[in-house]
Amino acid sequence: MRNFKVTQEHRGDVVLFKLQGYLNDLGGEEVEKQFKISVKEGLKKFIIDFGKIAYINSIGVSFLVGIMDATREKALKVCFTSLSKINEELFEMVGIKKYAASFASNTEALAYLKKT
Amino acid sequence: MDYQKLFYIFSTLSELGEEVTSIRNFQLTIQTSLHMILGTLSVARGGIFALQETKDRLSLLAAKGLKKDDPSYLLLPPETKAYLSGNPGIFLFRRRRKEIHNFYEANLPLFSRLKVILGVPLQVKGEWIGLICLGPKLDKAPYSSMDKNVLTLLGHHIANALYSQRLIEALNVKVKENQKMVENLRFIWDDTIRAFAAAIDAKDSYTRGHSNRVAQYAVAIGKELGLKGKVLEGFYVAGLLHDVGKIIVDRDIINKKKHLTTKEFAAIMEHTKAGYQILSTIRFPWSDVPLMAKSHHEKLDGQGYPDGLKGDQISLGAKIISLADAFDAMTSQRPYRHRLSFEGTLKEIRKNVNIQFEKRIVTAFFNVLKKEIEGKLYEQKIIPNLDEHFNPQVIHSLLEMTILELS
Repeated sequence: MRNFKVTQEHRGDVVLFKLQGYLNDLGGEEVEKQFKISVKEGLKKFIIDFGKIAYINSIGVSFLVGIMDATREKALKVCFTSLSKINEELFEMVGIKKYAASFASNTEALAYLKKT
Repeated sequence: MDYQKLFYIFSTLSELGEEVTSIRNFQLTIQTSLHMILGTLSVARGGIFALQETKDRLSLLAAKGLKKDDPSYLLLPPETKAYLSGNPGIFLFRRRRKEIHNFYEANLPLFSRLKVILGVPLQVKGEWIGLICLGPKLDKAPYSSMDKNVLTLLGHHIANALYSQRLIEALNVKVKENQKMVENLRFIWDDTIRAFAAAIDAKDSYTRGHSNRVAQYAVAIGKELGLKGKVLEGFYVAGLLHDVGKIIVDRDIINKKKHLTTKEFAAIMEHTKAGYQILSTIRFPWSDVPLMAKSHHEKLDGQGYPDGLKGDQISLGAKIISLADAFDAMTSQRPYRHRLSFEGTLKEIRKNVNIQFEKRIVTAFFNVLKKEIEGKLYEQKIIPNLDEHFNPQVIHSLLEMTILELS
């Protein structure tokens, strides 16, 4: 909570979560919470922007696993954007990358989600 | 397994080690630990449970994937308890051993919600103390032997944290019990000393409550001198017991209305030494209580008794008790003389500064009296004991003048 912030923007039927700071303690629960609230509200398309994320550890991964679990169960569409190489490799390793498309920018991710 | 995965696992292990040894909220530590496990193995649901003291339930410490209304404990059938106590290691729920099957059925709503497939018993020194329950991995792949090894390591850390917490809780209970016992002993001790003081005063029909008043006055003077805590407690106890030696003096001598003969006065003087001997056999938690009793009739000029000590040879405590004792004696009716007025007593004390009483102690005492008259103290300890209607303005002026004079 101390070093992590999540903000939310709506682009049509797409929710864009912008993450900032360190995703390495229980404060990271906020992103999973906000994601699940949006799902309850009926939204199905999401972008998670990791551009300003400095570090992710296993605690942070646990919240992303929660998001990916819901994504798979409810057939949602989730895109990751601005992933650093190290985080891309981390997501690959822990197996969450295959449940989300990855893009360099939010514009590209939005274009992709509009087509689907 | 590639080095990246190994590095990730080592990082988690290192962070978990740091987490479980950190001094912070235990609940938070367990929650964090659970998320570390879930994130390391890519699992969405799971929980950590602790075996209750009754051994028939496991209470929920942390969970992910449960709803608010879900149970906060697991029922533990006797056969499951026996099985898990036997150090079975990590087990699969779907294997359907009777012991596990019954456990699953007894807790169906909670286990269904968590979609549990794996159980990790937590053990410390051969004692089973808790359980980690995990749902499926995100990719639905079975838990590999490496996953189980990692879980064993992580579980070991969590078990130690749980065990430490139990020790801390047990220790806290003991500390509270001991605190209560000490408090009770303290009450008994206080009551005993007070009863003893009352018994001493009862020997002299004119000195009812004398020891208690001396104790209060001594503490008031000590406070004014900036003394605190145990020192003041020592003054209080010494005040209560300063006349304990009178127990050996004949009641007829103590209550004699006429002047005492030399022999009788010598007998009276013995009470200081007798008091010292009696009190020296008690292991007081405060220093100098026996000495304060022994020296409370010593005078600065060396004309006191029993040792004819002078100035700095007399302890501060004894000097304070001496003034408190003299003030109460002068303001009380005695068999051999009438009480002095408040004003007369103050003048008598002033007259004896540097002869019988030390200047700074008299100043402190007069300051307390002045503050009591001005109503500046939370509680009056001296004035209410004076059975006299006096003119506060006159006394206040006298005190102010004397304090100025002594400064």
